[in-house]
Formats: sequence, structure tokens, C-alpha cells
Amino acid sequence: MSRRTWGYALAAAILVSSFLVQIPLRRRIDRANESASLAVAAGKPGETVGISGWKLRDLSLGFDGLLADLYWTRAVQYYGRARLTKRPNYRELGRLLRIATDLDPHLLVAYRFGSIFLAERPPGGAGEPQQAMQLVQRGIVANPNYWRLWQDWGFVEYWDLHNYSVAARIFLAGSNRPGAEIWMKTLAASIAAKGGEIETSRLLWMEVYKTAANAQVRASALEHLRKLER
Amino acid sequence: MFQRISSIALHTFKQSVRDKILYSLVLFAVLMSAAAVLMGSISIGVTQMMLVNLGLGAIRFFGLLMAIFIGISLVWREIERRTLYNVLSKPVARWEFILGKYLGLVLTLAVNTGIMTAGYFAILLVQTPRLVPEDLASLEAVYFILLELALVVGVALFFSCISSPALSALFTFCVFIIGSLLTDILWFGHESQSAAMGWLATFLYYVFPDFSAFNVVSGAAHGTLVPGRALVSHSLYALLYAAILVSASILIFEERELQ
Repeated sequence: MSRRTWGYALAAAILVSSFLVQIPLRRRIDRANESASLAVAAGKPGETVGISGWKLRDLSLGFDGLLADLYWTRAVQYYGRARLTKRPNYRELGRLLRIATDLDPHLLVAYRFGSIFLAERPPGGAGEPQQAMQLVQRGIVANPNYWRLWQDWGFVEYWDLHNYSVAARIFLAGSNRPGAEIWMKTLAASIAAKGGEIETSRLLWMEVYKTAANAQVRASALEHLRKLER
Repeated sequence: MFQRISSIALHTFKQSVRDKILYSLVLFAVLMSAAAVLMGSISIGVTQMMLVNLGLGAIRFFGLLMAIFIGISLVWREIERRTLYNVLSKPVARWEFILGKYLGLVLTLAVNTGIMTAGYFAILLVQTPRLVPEDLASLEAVYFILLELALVVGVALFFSCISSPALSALFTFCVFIIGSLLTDILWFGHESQSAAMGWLATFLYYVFPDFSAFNVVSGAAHGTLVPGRALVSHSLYALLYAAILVSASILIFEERELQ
């Protein structure tokens, strides 16, 4: 067999065998990526007017993270510019935030500040607490272990919608996330009392009293329990 | 055999680094990384993220330009300048020539990516007081970019064996676009309700290299490390696909009539 024929045969053999081996490997990589992409896709929004972040993400050819940062910057600039006018109009703010978070579902800063921009009453914000809630809820779906988003959702319910019972339940749910601060539970207890759920509040303060490592927090819990007894 | 291949690879590397346009591309990449500092200052809470996204994005973008630019003229230039005949008149097999050229180009890309990465980390160090373990994610992302570039240059090499530089650039770019949108193509195929379209989409899905699989820049911006298993599987995938592309190039080049 001449050198040329040998090289030809070897190249053909490598081509065919590599192609056949890459198919199961490709399926394996796809399976590994599936769980992550499913979690993100759960927050996938429906059709929106104009281009959606999901379409942009598909077309970004891998520059989705950079585009998300640029859209978030655009949202900040848009908010800042509108805030300086006499009659602020935040009509596009929700859309910009949605695109930024579709492009990068883990862009936590956009959920956190974005919900504040959206929920705050005009002229300071868009006065759209429902949109703010939807934004944070999508953030929670994409980042289920990040307790701060539960805090932000709870605050929208508490400050803007005055749903004290709901807010208390959200703070309580958030307090069970990994790394959540103890004050999430104390906040849940306080707000539950404000919403008229005295028994829930008592149980939560009791739990805070039993579990808190900080003496000051325990003393505060005891004080609240005494007040509820009166 | 190995000596012949390494000689061709080294010669290709030396030939490529003489190209001054590569230096300007490296410079642009570093400048773009530096621009991230300014971009981050007009936003809220994304200065570091912007630096990673823009810095690694620039390395990837300019790396792709280099891979296409140096890959497309590879064989064509050798034939045009008639230097190929000198090489092949010596005891060098055609497949050794192609493999050596490919390895030389990958080496060129690795060195250029290394320089851009050094510039990126220098800017990162200026911006942050010290490096943290999460910054390792950036290094992983650079490794994945290099794997992607190795495939792109393989595609460029393949087209370089059959076409002119302009058409090779166009074909390589088209393959890159298709390879980046494979998941969507598969999805469209299945959504079309047509068995033929579904089959075609599945066929394309397995024939074209999946460039989107190497995109971990967004995760690196959040400091998310790639699991060790993924590092191995993606490296193996890139190696297999590079083998496919180089083998296909060799098969074409072996058949090519040189006058």
C-alpha cells in the first residue's frame, strides 16, 4: 500500500469513526444541558409585541450575556432619563427589563432594581406593582435558591399592594431558602400580625425565639410574643 | 512522520505570526475589554459582569475573525505562491501537510488567545483588588473559546481545500451561523409537523458542529464554574469534530489535481 493510499484510508476511517462516536457524545452533552435549560425555559414568557429577549438570545450567536448587560444599562438609562422629566413616562421600562432578563435569566441586579423601578408610584417609578411582581417571580423561577428575590417580592406585596397576609407568607417562604437572613422570619411574623393573622405571627415569633443564635433577636422575639399575649 | 508534521506546524505558526493584521486584532480585543470599565460605570451593579462579558466576548469575536482570516487562505496561498510544490516534492505526504497546517493554525490561535487573555486579566486586576476563585470561570470560558476556534479553523481549512478565500470565508461564516443555531433548527424541524423537515433538521443537527455548546461566557460572568465532566465531554467533542474536519480536508486534498 502506497503512502498516499494509506493516508487516504486512514483519513476516511477517522472521519467515519469520529462522526459515529460524536453522535452519542452529542446526545450526552445535550442531556447534561437539558436540566439547566429546562429550569430557565420554565420562566419563558409568551409572545410579546416587538422582538423578545428569547428571540434576541437565539440570534445573539453566543453574545447573550453581553447583550443582557447592554439592555440592562439601557433600562437604567431609560429610567434615569424619564425620572428627570416633569411628567415621567416609563412605558418601555417593563419591556426593556424583560428583554434583559430573558437574555440573561441570572442577571439578579435587573430583577432586584427593576422591581423597585416598576413598583414605585409615579413620579419615582412606573407604578406597576403587578409587572414588578411578574418580573421577580420570573427571577425566582430562574434562580430558585436566591432568597433576596423573595424579599423583593414580599416588599412589593407589602408596600405597594398592602397584601399583608400574602407578604408574610412570601417572607416566610423566602426565609427557608439557603443563606436567608433570620430577619426574613421576623419580618414575616411582624407582617402576619399586621395582617390580622395573630396565631401565625405568634408561631413565627416562637420559632424565631427558639432558633435565633443572636441574643438580641431572641429578646426581640420574646418582646413581640409578650405583646401578642396582651 | 511526527517531525515532518511538527516542522510544517511550526512553519505555519511562524508564517501566521508575521501577519501584522493579527496584532491589530489582538490590540482591538484588549481595547474592547478596557472599554468595559467605562460601560460598567454608566450602569448599576454590572461593572464586573460587563468586564467579563465584553472582555471574553471580544476574545471570542476577534478570535473568530482570526480563525476565519488565517484558515481560509491556508491552502490557496500555498498553491498561488507555488510553495506547495516545493513542499510536496520532498518526502512529505499530503495528509501530513494538511495536519501540520491545521496544528500550526491552532497553535497560532492559542498564542493569540493567550495574549488577549493576558490583556483581559491585566484589566481585571486593575478593576478589582485581587483575583478570586470565581475568576477561574473566565479561564474555563477562554478554554471553551479556544475549542470553538479550533473547530472554526477546521471548517475554514476544509473550505480552503475546495474554494477561493472569499467563498471559503462566506461558507465558514455560514457554517458558524448554522452551528450556532442548531437547537433552533431542530426545534423548527419538529414544530413544522412535516416528517421530512423533522428528518432534515435532525440530520443537520448531527452533521454540523454545535458551536453553541461552547458558549459558557454568560455563566463565567456570574462566576459559575463548568463541571469537570463537561470539560472532558466538550473537549472530546471538539477533538472528534476536529478529526472529522481534518480527515475530510485530507480526503479532498488527496484527490485534488495540482498543476
